[in-house]
Amino acid sequence: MLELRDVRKSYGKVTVTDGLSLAIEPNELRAIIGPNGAGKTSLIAQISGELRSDSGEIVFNGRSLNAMSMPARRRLGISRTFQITSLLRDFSALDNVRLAVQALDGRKRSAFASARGDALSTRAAAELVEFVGLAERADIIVSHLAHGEQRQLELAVALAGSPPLLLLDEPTAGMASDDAIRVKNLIASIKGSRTVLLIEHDMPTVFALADRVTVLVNGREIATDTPDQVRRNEQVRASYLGDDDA
Amino acid sequence: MARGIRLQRPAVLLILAVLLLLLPIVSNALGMSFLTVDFRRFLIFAIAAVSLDLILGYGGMVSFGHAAYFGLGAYTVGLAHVAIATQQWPAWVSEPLVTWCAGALVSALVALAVGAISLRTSGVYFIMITLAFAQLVYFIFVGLKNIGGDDGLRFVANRQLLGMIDLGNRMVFYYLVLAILGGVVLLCSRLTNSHFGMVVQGCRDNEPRMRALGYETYIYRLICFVVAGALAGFAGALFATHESFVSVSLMHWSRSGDFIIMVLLGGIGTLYGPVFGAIAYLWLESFLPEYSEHWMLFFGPFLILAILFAKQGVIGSLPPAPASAKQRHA
Repeated sequence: MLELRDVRKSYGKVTVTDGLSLAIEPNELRAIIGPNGAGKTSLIAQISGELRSDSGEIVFNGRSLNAMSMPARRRLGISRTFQITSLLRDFSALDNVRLAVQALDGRKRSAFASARGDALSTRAAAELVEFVGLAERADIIVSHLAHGEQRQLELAVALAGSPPLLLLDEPTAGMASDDAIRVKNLIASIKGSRTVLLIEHDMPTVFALADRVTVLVNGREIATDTPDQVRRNEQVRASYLGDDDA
Repeated sequence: MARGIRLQRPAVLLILAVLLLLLPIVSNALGMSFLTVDFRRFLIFAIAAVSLDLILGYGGMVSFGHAAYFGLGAYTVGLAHVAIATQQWPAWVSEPLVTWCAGALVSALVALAVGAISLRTSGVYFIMITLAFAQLVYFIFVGLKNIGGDDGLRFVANRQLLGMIDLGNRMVFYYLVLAILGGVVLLCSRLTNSHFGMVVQGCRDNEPRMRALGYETYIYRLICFVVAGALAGFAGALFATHESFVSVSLMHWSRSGDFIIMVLLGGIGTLYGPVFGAIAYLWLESFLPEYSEHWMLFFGPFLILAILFAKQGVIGSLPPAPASAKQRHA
């Protein structure tokens, strides 16, 4: 499904990805954990095409992504959320999702027909908005939404067009616990129907959701295993988890 | 609250339209028919201001070179007439519809080249590079002494539209310009509400996000830039027919600044706000000098106050129609 082969990226002397090789199975939910600065977000940026790797290869369903732009990768089915919410703040929640849907449905559109009047994409967008639990808030301008609601909307936008690969960068970051549980349940409901790469700091969430966990330290993979095995791994405990978490 | 008393935007639009429709009739009745010619010029500039609003207000592209496209459109018409007068080109070329469309086309092509390079930058760099290209065009025309250079180019514009509409009649030409302006506002309004328009506005708000959604944002922004350039060129071509004279001052960088002020004054991102802005700006510009040669001394502070107190411009400060008001503040 997704394969990284000896991927490297550095900024001057700071190496964010240090010869990383990963293979993610179809419909697997893989969590990436590691201390701050381990290169988790940089990894997502390289898979989504926001950042270019210095060397190595990223292969998606047998196709090399190296020469592909970020929009092209999204159209191919690699979708991401942002750690820091990145939405169109002057647009309504529904508008945000509709634009995401319209980017991917491959239909030609007249430059003179109202975008909001497009029934098919509006219905698809409304379903996604409802799926993440924002049906009541669909017409609210994003900048008026609460932080937790914006995080939910990020997820709806990322799910537009049913992407086979979802890259989730700390989807519950900064959320109140109720909202975080809601998002956790949403991810659980997606699990198994598509491939998910999840960056998450909350260990109970990671261990509850992940099929396998990769531990990243200084841009290098130090372990990849089932949640149970990772929890028992001495090296992981020493470098990241600490004894309290186990 | 005060909403019941305050004028809403659709009402203002209606009033503006009615006033402009009545203007030639009223000014004729008052024996001030020169006003029809003055306002015809205002409306031509308004078309260019609306086209700037398309990229400035909706696209977030602060182009500081819009006068170049206006000027190129105007010079296209002027040069066509010169080529006909010297019998290099056949007479039918002077047909207004042909020269106007040629003006729009020339400006569109230049906008395509300028936009293709400028849109690789953003922010202050975009402003500077659009200004630099406009200056380049300006100095090329200053240097072309055989077509007048600094002195401009005088010609006798063909005012027989399609051989049957006499643009020599001030009223007829005025109403034609008004109809074109209405058409341009309508066209831009449809465009901004379309999928294309939403993508362009999305790029203004958050371009990386639009790329992450799968949009090749560069293409969308470039098309928008070219459309605005073409419309400005069309307006410039109308101006040449209106004035029977073109000069490099049309392309001066301060004219580009004037267009930006018209948009800001009337209301950025409203399309018909810039119509109001253009009329108010040009009217003050032609009326104040009659009272004092130091008119700039009053005009400058007025602009500063207008933009300070009505941050979204005169039209932009008015409440929108109730339906969208609810959407914004619910």
